[in-house]
Order: sequence, then structure tokens, then C-alpha cells
Amino acid sequence: MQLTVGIAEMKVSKGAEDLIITHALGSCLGITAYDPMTRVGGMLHAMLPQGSLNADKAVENPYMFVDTGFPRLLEACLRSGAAKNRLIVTVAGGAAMKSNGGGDDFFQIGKRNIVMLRKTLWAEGIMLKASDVGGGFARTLTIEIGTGEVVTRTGTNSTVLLPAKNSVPA
Amino acid sequence: MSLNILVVDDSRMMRSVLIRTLQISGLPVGEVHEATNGQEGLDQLSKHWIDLALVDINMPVMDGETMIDHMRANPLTKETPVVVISTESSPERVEMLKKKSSGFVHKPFTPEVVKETIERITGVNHESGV
Amino acid sequence: MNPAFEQSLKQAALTTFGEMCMALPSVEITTDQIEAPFEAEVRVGFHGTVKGELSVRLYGTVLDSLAQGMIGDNELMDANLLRDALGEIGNVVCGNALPLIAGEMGKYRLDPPRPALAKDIPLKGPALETKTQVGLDGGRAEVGIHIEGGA
Repeated sequence: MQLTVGIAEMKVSKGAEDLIITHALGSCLGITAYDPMTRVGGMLHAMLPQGSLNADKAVENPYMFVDTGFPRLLEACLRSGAAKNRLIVTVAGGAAMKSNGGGDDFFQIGKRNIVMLRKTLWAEGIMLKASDVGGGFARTLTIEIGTGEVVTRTGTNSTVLLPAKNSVPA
Repeated sequence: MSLNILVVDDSRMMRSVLIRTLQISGLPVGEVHEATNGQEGLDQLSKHWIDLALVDINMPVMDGETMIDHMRANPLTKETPVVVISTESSPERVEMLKKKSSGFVHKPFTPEVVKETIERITGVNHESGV
Repeated sequence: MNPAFEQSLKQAALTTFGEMCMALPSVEITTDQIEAPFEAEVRVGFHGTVKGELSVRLYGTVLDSLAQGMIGDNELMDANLLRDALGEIGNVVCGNALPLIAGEMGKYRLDPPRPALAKDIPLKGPALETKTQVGLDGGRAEVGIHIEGGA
């Protein structure tokens, strides 16, 4: 089944047939977490770096922000049977989109999102396995729960961020 | 088998950052020893078996470059891999430090870069173990 | 004031605060940030192709969170560890600014950083000809440089 993650949403699955997808990642971040042993995976589509930018919104929808959304993605993966020390985290997006405020991306939201993810991962004690970030274009991000394969697509180009692990015992 | 690692930096903060990086890297880390300058680093090398040294350059008492020169002149530590971790940016200096060491990490660094550099030098990684 | 040097200082400050302290520095400064009181300073001397001193002055309450970002821990830190973190910030800003200022082939050595919190004896040093600043959560950082022979 295909599970679509909208803007400021998160999905976690342990269904081997599931594919989680998010579209149109500009300055937003698409963050995946995957445990190759228990084959639990999830994805977050966060828009802005920190919940303190809008505390009410962060309470109402923590998935909107990187620093409040990622811990919830982590929690949800652990609840579904993932182990923190096995989690493989990847990120895509964080582009410098012209629509964010003039030609030179005045607010640098994409860049700030990436810094905040790094800070959050560092505090959680998790390393980033792979990333496809920056540039000035939108990306689509997918993760296959059965294999753990993470792919980004831009137009007709695709990049494998994390290769499929077919050798993992069922 | 695990890697015994020596961390040499005059900043307590940077030693903590490097040790935390080692802890979360998933690498098989054994004993971690600390030194606050090149001389202390050489003392630690004479007392413990060290598989890898992470060495800052700009330090009081004895700088990292002098420490590496001493290591290379000693048959017991001649082959010990060294990763230089420094703010040095001029290509000429970086090239020279690379020649003297096994790897160079520029400050500021990400934990991932430190991990990848250690994996490349030691042939050890998270997935395969030693 | 040398605009090219100013840009180099800004670039080194943005890189250091963003990548090492995991902070979100901004180029724009608000009135609150401008009015924030002095918190700490670090000075780093350098000599070689270029000779002089670099200073990073922090205003407001920013040092704790910069140090916490470095270490990935939200615990409050003792004054010695804050001075240590401040020293490393000075060291890294200086190490990253000088190649931009002196050219890639420049050769120089950095002196050990001299950090001082607001409660410490104020640092003495040469006047800084070129200065820039970046905004930080809770205050700002001002980075300045003195180069012997003129900037």
C-alpha cells in the first residue's frame, strides 16, 4: 500500500508491502528512519526548524517543525518495534527555494531546517546515514518498508539514498 | 576486537565532542584516553596500546605536528594511525599535515565525517564490525 | 573598515555558529539583539603572512546555548567549560576567517585563545578596524579583526 505523507505530517509502518512517499519537498525536510532488523520505518515532512517560532502551532501540530517532529518520529518507530541503536536516518529537501522570499532565499529556511535536524540528531545521539539536500529544486522522497530502500526523485532523475537490504531475514 | 583511541585536544569541550562522536558512531570503540597537548599525548602512547590517535594541531606545550613527528620517529608508534583535527585551511599546510598523518578533518566538522574518516583508515565499520 | 574582510568574518561566524554550535545565526539583527548586554569575549592572536588579532564578542544570553549545541547536552555548564567553549569558538572562527582574508596560500599560526566572561577581567587588545555581527537566539555575536599594517 502507498502511504502519502502530507506537509507537516508523519507516517510509520511495519507493513512489508508499504511504500511511504512525500511530494514537493522544497525547503521542507523529508526525514526517514528505518530499522533493518525489525523492518519498521517512518517518514516526517517538516516545514520549519523550531517549534519556538510558533509555540501554539507546535502544540497543535508538532510535525510542522523539525525539532518537535523528529522526536515524535523516533518515538513512533520505537513503539512499532524499532531499536534506537539500529535506526538508519536519512534526509532530503532543505532546498533554497526562490519562492521563500526573493531571489537570494533571504530566510534560508532550507539551510536552517538542516542545521536544526543536525542539532536534534546530535542531542538524540543518532548519526545521519545519507542526505540529498540543498540546490534550488523540489524533490519527492520514498521509503520501501520491506527493503528499507530510500530514493529521491527530481523530474526524471532519481537518487538512491539507502540501497535495498534484501538479505535481511524475514 | 575493539579500537583503543587517544583524543588529544587542549579544549575539554572538543575532547567531549569527539568522545561523544565515538560513542554514537556504532564503531567498536574500546578504551578512550585523553591528553591536553602533544607531550601528554606521547606520555599516553607510552603507557597504553593505542590503535588510533585523533590529534588537534594548535595546542600549548607541544603542538600536534611536533607530537606526530615524535610518533613517527619512534618504532613503537611509527605505524599508529593519526587523524589530524584542525582549523588549518591553507592548502599548503593541509597538504603537509595530510602527508604526516592518515587523515585530516577540518573544524568545524560533523560527527559523520569523523566516523567516515575512522572507517576509511581502520577498515572498521558499523555494519561489518572489525 | 574593509568590506571584503567584513564579508569573510561574517562567513566564518555563520559557518562556526551553524556547524559547530548547531545554532541558527541570522544576518539580520533586531533592536532587542542590538541592545543586549555584553556577555563574553574571546581574542585570538595570529602571526605569519598576516599578523594581528581576532575578537568574538557575545551579547545577551547566548553562550550557554552555543556550548550546549556543541556538546549536544542541555545541562547548564560551569564557568570553566563556558570559557573553554568560547575559546574553541574563537579558534574556529579565526581559523576559518584567515584563509578568506589572507588568501588560500597564506601561512599563519594561531595563539591559544584568550576567553573572558563578563565577570572576568576584561580583555585588552588592539582596536579592531573591521567588524561585523550576526544575530543569535537571545542575542548577537560581534566579530572583529585587527591586522597589522592596515586592513
